[in-house]
Amino acid sequence: MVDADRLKASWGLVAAHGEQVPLFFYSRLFLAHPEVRELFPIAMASQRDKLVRALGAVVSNVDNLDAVVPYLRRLGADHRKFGALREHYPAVGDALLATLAHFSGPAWTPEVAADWETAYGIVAQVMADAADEAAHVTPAWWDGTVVDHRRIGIDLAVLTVVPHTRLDYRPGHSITVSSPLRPRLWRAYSPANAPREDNSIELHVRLVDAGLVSTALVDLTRPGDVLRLGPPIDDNLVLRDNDRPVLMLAGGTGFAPMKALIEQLARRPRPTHLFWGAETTDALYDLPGLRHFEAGNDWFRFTGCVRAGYPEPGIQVGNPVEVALRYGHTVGVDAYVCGPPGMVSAARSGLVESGVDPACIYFDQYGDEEK
Amino acid sequence: MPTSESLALSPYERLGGAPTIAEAVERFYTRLLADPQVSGYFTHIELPTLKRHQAALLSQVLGGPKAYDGRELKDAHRGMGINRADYDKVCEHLLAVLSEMGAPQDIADSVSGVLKSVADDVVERDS
Repeated sequence: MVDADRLKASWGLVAAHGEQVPLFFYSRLFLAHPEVRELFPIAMASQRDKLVRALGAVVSNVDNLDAVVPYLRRLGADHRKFGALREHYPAVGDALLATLAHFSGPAWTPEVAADWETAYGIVAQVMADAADEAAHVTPAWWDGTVVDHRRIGIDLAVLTVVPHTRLDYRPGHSITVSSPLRPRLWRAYSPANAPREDNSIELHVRLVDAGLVSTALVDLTRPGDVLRLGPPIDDNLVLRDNDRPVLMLAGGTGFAPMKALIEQLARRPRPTHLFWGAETTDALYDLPGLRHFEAGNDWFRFTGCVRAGYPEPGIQVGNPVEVALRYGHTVGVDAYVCGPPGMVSAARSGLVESGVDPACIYFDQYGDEEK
Repeated sequence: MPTSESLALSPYERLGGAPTIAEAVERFYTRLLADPQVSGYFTHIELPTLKRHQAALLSQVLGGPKAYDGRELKDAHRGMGINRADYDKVCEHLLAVLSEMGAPQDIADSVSGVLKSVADDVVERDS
């Protein structure tokens, strides 16, 4: 049996070495098992801290592995798009244990080694099993044709993509996207629409500084291009089935999953208030659409939140968290939060302080970082 | 939203990329062939192929583009009867080359650590 405290302490010791850890891990992996290199992107920069983050997520839940099983199952099914197979898991485990041993130094006792081996064994088993099961029902990825590419401002594009075969997802889910211009690099986006008859998916893509995938999607992608789409991941923002009022806090393209949720809510309305923040009013790129929708649906309210500018009808100055706490009703709500990590953590602490049950705050735990 | 898409430089890039790797591999084999302790391992081997493999492997291990299409480390050395002292000696030569080419200490330390950690895949005899 794994000693959870011992494992966490061991991880703390290793994680303190920062970026040296993934560097060592991948060097070790690619030296001992060179063939595994093919599963990874050509440029490894964005890959390195993913390992540490995923491991951290598993380790922090090690006393309750059942809680991470759904996450691991999705991760395993999702990894099929990289070409990951059951036989690759021992190579990764081997490199992982060697890395942990290297950074643990004298703290690497047989007991600690056994804990890690057991924990990794469980993780690998769950992921590989989920991948095998998924192989019976869904493809490893979907090809989808870009049918519309609309540039908004200098750093945003709204893409409409039609998967060639049905891609089922729920509003609030994320799907990963890869461009043929950036092979094996994937980035997660939330569809900005509830599933449609024609299967088309709207993606809001913000240009990230030096971001390989986002530059390809915003600058270089044209209608007619074919992208790869991964299976849906992340249940965090999926609408909970109850009658509580909904409070939505969104920053930037964090608006996308909210838009999908609003479309879903429209079929069975309950009081909903969206606070959407951006630098300026112009950066609230769907303002006319939202105002039109608000005018026709009395259950829905929208407040734009801008950092720079003046208040005007429907627009407040401040970040969405502050504005919502000042003007919104937070009593008895279910809160859905999607935005940059700083906003998400501010939202959580602010909402809890104002009396929102922490269990009723749903957020995209990984921002919209690459997955 | 901000992401980790930023482009931190890999050791491969910091060392100077493909030209540095090619030069390092040249110097590495010059040293190996001049060292009687280990030169025997390399006399009956097709050197250009080995160099190409070595450059590719080194490149991918240092975070450069994928290029290596050879075998697993363990399979590639199976049955060669390599002993630990010789393995250490070869590693020493590689580290010496990196050092004489001005590799930063953190990269040298990392390479050294990784080489130690894969020793058991290569070494078949302890003496």
